[in-house]
Amino acid sequence: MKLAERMSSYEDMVGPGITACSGCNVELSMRTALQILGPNTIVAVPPGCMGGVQSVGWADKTGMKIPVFFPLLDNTASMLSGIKKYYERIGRDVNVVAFAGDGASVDAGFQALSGAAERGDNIIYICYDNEGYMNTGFQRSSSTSLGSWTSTTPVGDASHGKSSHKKDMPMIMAMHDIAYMATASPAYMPDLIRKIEKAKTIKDGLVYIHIYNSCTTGWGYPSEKSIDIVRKGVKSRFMPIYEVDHGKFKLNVDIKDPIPLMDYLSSMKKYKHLSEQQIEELQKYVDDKWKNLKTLCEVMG
Amino acid sequence: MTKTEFICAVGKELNIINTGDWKMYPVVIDQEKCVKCSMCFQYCPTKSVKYVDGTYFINPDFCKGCGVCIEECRSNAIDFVKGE
Repeated sequence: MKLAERMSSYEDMVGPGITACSGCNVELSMRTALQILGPNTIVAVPPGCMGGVQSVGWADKTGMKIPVFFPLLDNTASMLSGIKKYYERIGRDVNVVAFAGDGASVDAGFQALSGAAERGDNIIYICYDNEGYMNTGFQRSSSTSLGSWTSTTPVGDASHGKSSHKKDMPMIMAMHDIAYMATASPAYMPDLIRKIEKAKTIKDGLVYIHIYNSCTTGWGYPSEKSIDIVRKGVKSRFMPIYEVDHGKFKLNVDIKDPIPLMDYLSSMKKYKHLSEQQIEELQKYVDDKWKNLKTLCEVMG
Repeated sequence: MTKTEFICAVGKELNIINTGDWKMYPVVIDQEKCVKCSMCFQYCPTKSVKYVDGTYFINPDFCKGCGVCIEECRSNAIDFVKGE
């Protein structure tokens, strides 16, 4: 069946009008993911962009057609573990899903997520990584990449953007030996859809899906370039798309001939001040990570 | 708020924001130029592109007018309707 026919047959679980910025590809990722996961789902959206766009609702109204929670920034995974345990006890099979930002997964919620991964709780944890706390005005998170301008790492005489590299969260989660770990990008939609469908079928452990997103207002690019930016990110090897299925590494989008990293960096405002040295450091980081990943895919594929 | 008997709260009604008001100009697909590549359908952030009986069309009700479909269209069949 064609992708359009298949996707049309699923109902949109998110309410039609939510206040995500115009051109936000996180909204696209959330709608697509929940469309596939279907009505038999409980979702938790911690504080962050997608919590802030009224998907969790207001007073007695919610922004979704399925039960939705608004947990704290740091307890999303443990709260969902409890909910899953309850449903396991009463013998009902429910998809228990988190849709959390990088702040709630990589920074504040990491301890709870790591605990859930270690216990092997059967929850689906989707992290949308837009490299910062976008909801409150782009503060630095540990997922922000080197050199990036943020409101807490300003650009001037003394500071030249963030001084450390991004935390390699997908690999950290893969090394927890969870049942399924995958990275995805909204620019590679059939791949993202396949991964969410796969996540739905896994019943023997934690599923972690890391979606590389972008942010029109924070990163500084026109709203229509939303998909183009993340596609450039993937094509320059900055956002590697791979999966780890029960310990087996597989590179899903093999970029044999990458575009220059500069094509990606120069297309947005947050990198416009980068010095030669910072670009070199970023290029080296990207090359090293890609080499590591290739080796892992060969050895553990 | 009253205590509910459910472990998870289900809203009594949907909280809907009229995002259709955000756009500057309406967006339409030129059906003659459309090559049915489904790019607009895949990438529309608000899922405003609908697929019915082999045809793609844009439902303007909640379209925010971001222009992603115009940028991604392979045959340049989508554009803003300006004028008047």
